[in-house]
Amino acid sequence: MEALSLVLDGFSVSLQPINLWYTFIGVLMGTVIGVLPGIGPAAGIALLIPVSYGMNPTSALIMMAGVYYGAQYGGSVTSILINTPGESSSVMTAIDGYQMAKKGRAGAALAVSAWGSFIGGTIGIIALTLMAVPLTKIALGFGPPEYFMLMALALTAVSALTGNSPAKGMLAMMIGLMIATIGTDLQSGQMRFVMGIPELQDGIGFVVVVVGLFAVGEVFIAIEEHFHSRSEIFRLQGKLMLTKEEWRRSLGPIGRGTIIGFLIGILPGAGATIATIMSYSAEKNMSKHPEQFGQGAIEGVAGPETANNAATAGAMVPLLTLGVPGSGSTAVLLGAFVMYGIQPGPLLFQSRPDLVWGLVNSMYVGNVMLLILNLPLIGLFVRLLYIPTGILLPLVLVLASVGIYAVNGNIVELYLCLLFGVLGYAFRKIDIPLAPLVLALVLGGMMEQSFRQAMTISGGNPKIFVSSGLTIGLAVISVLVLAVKFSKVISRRKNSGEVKSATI
Amino acid sequence: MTHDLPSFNRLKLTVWTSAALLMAGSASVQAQGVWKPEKPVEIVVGSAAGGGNDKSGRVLQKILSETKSAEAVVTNKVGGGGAIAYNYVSQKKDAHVIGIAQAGLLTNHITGRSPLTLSALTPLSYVGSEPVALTVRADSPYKNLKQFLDQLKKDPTSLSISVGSTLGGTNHFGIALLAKSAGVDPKKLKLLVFGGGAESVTNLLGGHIQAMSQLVNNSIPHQKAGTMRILCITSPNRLAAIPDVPTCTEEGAKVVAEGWTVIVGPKDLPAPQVAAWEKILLAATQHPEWKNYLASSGWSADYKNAKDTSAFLKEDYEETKALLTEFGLAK
Repeated sequence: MEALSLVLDGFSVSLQPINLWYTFIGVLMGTVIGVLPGIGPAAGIALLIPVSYGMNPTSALIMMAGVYYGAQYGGSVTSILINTPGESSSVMTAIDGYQMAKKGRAGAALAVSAWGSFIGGTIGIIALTLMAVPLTKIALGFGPPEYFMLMALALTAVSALTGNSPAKGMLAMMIGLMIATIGTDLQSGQMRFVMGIPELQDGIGFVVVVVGLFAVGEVFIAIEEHFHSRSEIFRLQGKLMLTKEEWRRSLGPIGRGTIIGFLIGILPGAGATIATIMSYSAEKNMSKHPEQFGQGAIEGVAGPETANNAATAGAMVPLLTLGVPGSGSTAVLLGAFVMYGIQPGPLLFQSRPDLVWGLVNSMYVGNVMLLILNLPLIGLFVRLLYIPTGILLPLVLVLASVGIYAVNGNIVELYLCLLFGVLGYAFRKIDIPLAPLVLALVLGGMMEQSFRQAMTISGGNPKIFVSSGLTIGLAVISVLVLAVKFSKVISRRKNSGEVKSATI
Repeated sequence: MTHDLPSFNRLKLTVWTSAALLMAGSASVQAQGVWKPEKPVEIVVGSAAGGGNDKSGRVLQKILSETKSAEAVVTNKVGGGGAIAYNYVSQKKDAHVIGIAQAGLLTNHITGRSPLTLSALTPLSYVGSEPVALTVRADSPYKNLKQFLDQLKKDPTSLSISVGSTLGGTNHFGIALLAKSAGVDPKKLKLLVFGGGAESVTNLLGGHIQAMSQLVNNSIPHQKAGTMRILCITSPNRLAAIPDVPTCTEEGAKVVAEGWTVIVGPKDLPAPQVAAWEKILLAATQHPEWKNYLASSGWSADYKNAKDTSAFLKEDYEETKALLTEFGLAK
């Protein structure tokens, strides 16, 4: 760990009034960006770069980092209230969060999101402060075989997301995998399923799929319900904030979400989205009432929301210790570093401790600000539920379209978004779960490339997948998860069999 | 009434024709003079915010606004290995839109990824080049290029080497030409493709691969920190940022393979507009901000005007085509 004095010196930088001000602007912008569907923290940070030319580099980076983790707070708002995730890392929150809103517990869902985000983010930064260097060593131990095994473990999570019909879940997963293959294959340079459209050469963006399936699909469903006079306003019931019971149920998921989120966040390439998937699946597997998941279980909101903020803190580890960006947003941050003439890399801690610790310590401040901002705003946000659908739906559509177009200025992406909206509508009508599709899309590409990279390294020998401690460990955990699943299925069948025989 | 119309129409026709002629006349008068940007200029980059050309674009934007040459905005048009950005620039009408181009401009056409040819853009200036660095981890048994190539001669598939984010790019050429210089068949090499320089770095540091052939900016911070060793760089001269690192030519392999950066404009730009940009860009490349950027990224400062750039690109196209055909990647 770095000398404690350097860490404490960082506070003298981050607590300067001008930096407090920039932290505030950053987290406010981040929250807004998180709420808006389509546009994400990467685009937001990129927008700030020209604005910040004359500024002190530390202040500018503090502001940009604020946008980054602030977006993780904002993304949950629209997920919970109108089933339209603002970020890809808010998709899991929408599954149970929206059901909670339907049951009148929107305030509680938003509150547990805010608290979970705060706890996950803060503990993540503490872990970053204390263990950045040893954690980097662990992260470096992840090569193609280890990534593949991690993705395989994450795929077992699909069983947690299939809902009532495993067959339909599998179908959704297959479609997701198929979509993941569209684009230029890295290893061979061949174009797959591009159909002569140049915009498809780099694949279909994840955000386009999520916004289309969830936001636009939801708009279509709501339109239909509106015309069948089936739409109801979700009235709030009970306490606006969390009840004691809900708190008690959330603490475990928050704790587990922090650990899972942070550990996955430090791996370059795996990010907040995968962290939320793993957290959700872990909570469902560990819950005594798994059937509640998908119907409004608060654990399904607490876990993922904590995980995505912890993952954001984790993603700063490879950025600061190695100068390696773990995701699109950290890549933009890295670009900003270079713009200010700061060379990120292994020597950053030694050469610019004031910058590093000023930045890290500003994140504590930022998280506190976000908590203070978001909790009272819950009362305001839930009013969103009372907006008549006739006004809300066009607004969502406009925001989604602008958000998608703002990122790449590409009209083809808007068409794709619309296509996925129709698909999302169809899926909802036939009762095919959307989450496995999202999961497969996120994991599929990485799994395939990692597999082939690993096989190239080993010259075709599959033993590489059990060749290191990490791969063996991940394999064991995957097998255990599957074994527990099977035993549950078997015992459930046995029990229903006993009931049958009793009634005869 | 009705027999007034034909004369009225003739009057209209005369008025509009003379107006059109006047405007055309004044436009051509303007073309003889000096051109200056009259509205904000768009710098189009083919990468997402934070990636490759985006950084160069933003440095350029900063310099242009500091020297008051132009107000500039960076536009990201991602996709197709730069094809979408190049297409966008090609179709614009005047020099208020410029683009930053790299090797993808040529390879896209050779590999059949994009129908866009060199004639669809006007080269404005060549602004810099970056060499490829063959890098190993600091604790690797290969202390210099010769030892590395000897190992490859013994068994070409014994070492896993990353070539960054695409086959058939400058990184690939770097290692392929080095291998060829030692008599090793480049097609037998065990090459891996990752999502970008960052993944190559983490995989090399983690020991999952033995070497990486990447543009030098990826290796410089790690060379300085002592965690990696650059065996050689494919530039004609040593770089000021890493004065202790030999060039591949010094190490016995006469290989020069550099990733170049060229500024391009839309199709068939008139000469005054090209000349205006040449002046602006020449001044920009001499600005201290640009020099700082080059130094930290490991670029070589190099400037060519529009005519020389055009000749360079034609030559590079032929060389690249020959190499890609050899690797079986050309269409």
